[in-house]
Amino acid sequence: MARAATLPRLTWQGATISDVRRESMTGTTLRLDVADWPGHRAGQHVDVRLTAPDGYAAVRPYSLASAAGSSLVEITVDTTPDGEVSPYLAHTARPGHHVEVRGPLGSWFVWEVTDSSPVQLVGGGSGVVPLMSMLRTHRDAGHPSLMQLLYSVAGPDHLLYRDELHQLEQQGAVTHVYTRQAPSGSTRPPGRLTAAELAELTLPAAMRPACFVCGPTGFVETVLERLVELGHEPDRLRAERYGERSTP
Amino acid sequence: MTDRSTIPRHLDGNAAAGEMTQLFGSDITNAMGTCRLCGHRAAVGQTRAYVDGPGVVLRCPDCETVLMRWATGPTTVWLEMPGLRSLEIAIEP
Repeated sequence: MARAATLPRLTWQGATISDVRRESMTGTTLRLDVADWPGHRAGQHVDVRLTAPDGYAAVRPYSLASAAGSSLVEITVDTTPDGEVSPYLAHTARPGHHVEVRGPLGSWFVWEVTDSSPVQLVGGGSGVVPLMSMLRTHRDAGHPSLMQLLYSVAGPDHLLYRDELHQLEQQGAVTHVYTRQAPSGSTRPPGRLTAAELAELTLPAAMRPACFVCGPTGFVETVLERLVELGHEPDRLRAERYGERSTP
Repeated sequence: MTDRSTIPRHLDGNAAAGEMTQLFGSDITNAMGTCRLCGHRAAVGQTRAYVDGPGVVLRCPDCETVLMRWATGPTTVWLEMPGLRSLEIAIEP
């Protein structure tokens, strides 16, 4: 009988955690030292593999938060309460610990620095992570295109990249919408992003912006539907869904 | 009324990029696939990915037909492409 073809195993690379930064009540940024990192594009992710002493392995994809074109490999992990991987990465991992990674991965949800069209980013909760890579890449490159972010987040305690986004907010590039708890002094009562707000706070369809939407599946579906209703062409929309987590 | 909590929440084909790189030897998330049933054309990264089962299932984002599914065992990968009419993979110039 003929033997089945054999596939070479895709290489998992060892990575050493070199820095751990608490970003919010539930979010942690991990810097990974990976030998011969080939560089990544803004929006890509890595698969992270953790292996237990008994050999049981769990693999999860995590978006890269660091700018493309730098050698920095950083992921931001938001804790999933009953998750197998995220609680370890968010609460237990320390500098010097080892994990395995493969990547950079994904060639669809990617913003290319060669793209000169305006860009609208819409993030829900930890869906802001790959969008942050795009914003950082854009900022570090002094990119001439217009890029802005609408960030829907549960409350100030959940805000990722607080200082960096605050700076970009001062420049008019970032708008925050709080869904459960608004910061003191806010005039908008907390609540989900409405269709009217989405229309008001994003680039108009007439500009034909490239739109990147990332967040929990329900959030992404709603935003995509509304963007199409606002006249955006489906071809200009790219989305990444984070699965079952409820509205941020 | 539908209880939304019982509907498996899908990710995007993009989330399976690592698995597919293992299968195909390159990242095909920007390859364009055509659904055999409804003719919808979408990037592999745009398909609906169900990853919580024993394998991975990619469905048509328009009509939900199963385009591809695979399961990985210790020594083999079993891959089916029941609903995929074609896959258009760009070659670097």
